[in-house]
Amino acid sequence: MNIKQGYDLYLQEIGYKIAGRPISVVEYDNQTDPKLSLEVAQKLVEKDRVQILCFGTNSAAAIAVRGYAEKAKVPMALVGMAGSERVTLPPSRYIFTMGYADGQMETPQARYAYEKLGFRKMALMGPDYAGSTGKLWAFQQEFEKRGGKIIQTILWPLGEMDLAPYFARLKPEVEAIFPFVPGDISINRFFKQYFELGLDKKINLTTHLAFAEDYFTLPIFKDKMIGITSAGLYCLDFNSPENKRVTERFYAKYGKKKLMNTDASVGYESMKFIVTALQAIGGNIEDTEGFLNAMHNTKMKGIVSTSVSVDANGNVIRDVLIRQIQKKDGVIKNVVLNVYPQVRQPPEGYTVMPRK
Amino acid sequence: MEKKSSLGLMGGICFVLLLAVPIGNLCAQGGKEPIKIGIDI
Repeated sequence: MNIKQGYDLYLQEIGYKIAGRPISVVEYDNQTDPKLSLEVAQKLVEKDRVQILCFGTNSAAAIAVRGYAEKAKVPMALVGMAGSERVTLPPSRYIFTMGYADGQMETPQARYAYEKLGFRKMALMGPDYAGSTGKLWAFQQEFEKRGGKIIQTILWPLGEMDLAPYFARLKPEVEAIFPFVPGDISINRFFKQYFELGLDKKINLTTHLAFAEDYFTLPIFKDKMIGITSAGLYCLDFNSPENKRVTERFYAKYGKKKLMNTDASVGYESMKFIVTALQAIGGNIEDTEGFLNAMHNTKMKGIVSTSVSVDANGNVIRDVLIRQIQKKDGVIKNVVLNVYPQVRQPPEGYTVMPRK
Repeated sequence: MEKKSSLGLMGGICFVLLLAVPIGNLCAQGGKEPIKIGIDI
């Protein structure tokens, strides 16, 4: 939903028009179901005759649709496939992945954890499935390359409700944890037990961005969150005229009930990227090859990133922010500690997790 | 009488405007086909 808000925000800004041609949007909800996603993609292409697909979805659904889009020769911009599929699947000229993927944030984050936060002995925690372990692996690779040591990797069955027994396994010498759990409910449960057990007083946390979004966990756990670091693609507090402008437009359109956030910014930038490419070819979407070339050649300024572009495989290149939750101007929020410019996927030094 | 006339005049203006909007849009767009984007969330 947040991604869609970003799409709409940008389209409204350009008056739903590119190079004199109106933009018509057809939309469905795939409910993050792979089978339904494929049906929806077929419907969009074969019945609604859309010329560009925009999918904001999970990895399984994205993979299901990817093959179809390529076969149908319809360019697709994805905000999904956050695992290592971008590296393991053969690249396609029709697919552009605009969100993050394994390693793209964990690599600079692990580097920062070692070099700037001074962590030397860390633990990894998460459910035992590829969506989680791929991120833990990405963090471990860079952290240990820098000289740190992962002294524990604590995994649990996906869907496990009680994490207390797993927290109890943490060795006393662990200085910090890098965890990954999928979904809002799991993240809330992780924090609830981490705080209830008083671990925040003993062990630091450096997390995936979803754990530390200003609109999500900060209003729930408030000042307990202070000090937690994360890597991210967006930060509400980032001081730039473009962030200020887009954020003001976001609130003007949607109200302040929900804060401007990462998903909305990625949705906004994805649509802007498509429109920028279309403008470069005078809106002539019927020239598919021309549009694909224009997408590959597009380089634009992001809301917080100095530049957003794609590599030869259609994977996004953008700045990665290291954020920390602080109390600033009386408000508990993420602030930017550091910026790693133009991080690629895969980032330098990253290799895909070996299969079991 | 005056009131009736002004209402009649307003009706005329509205009619012209309603016609003018779509014609104006077509002119602005040069009658071009829309670019169709499919969104799936």
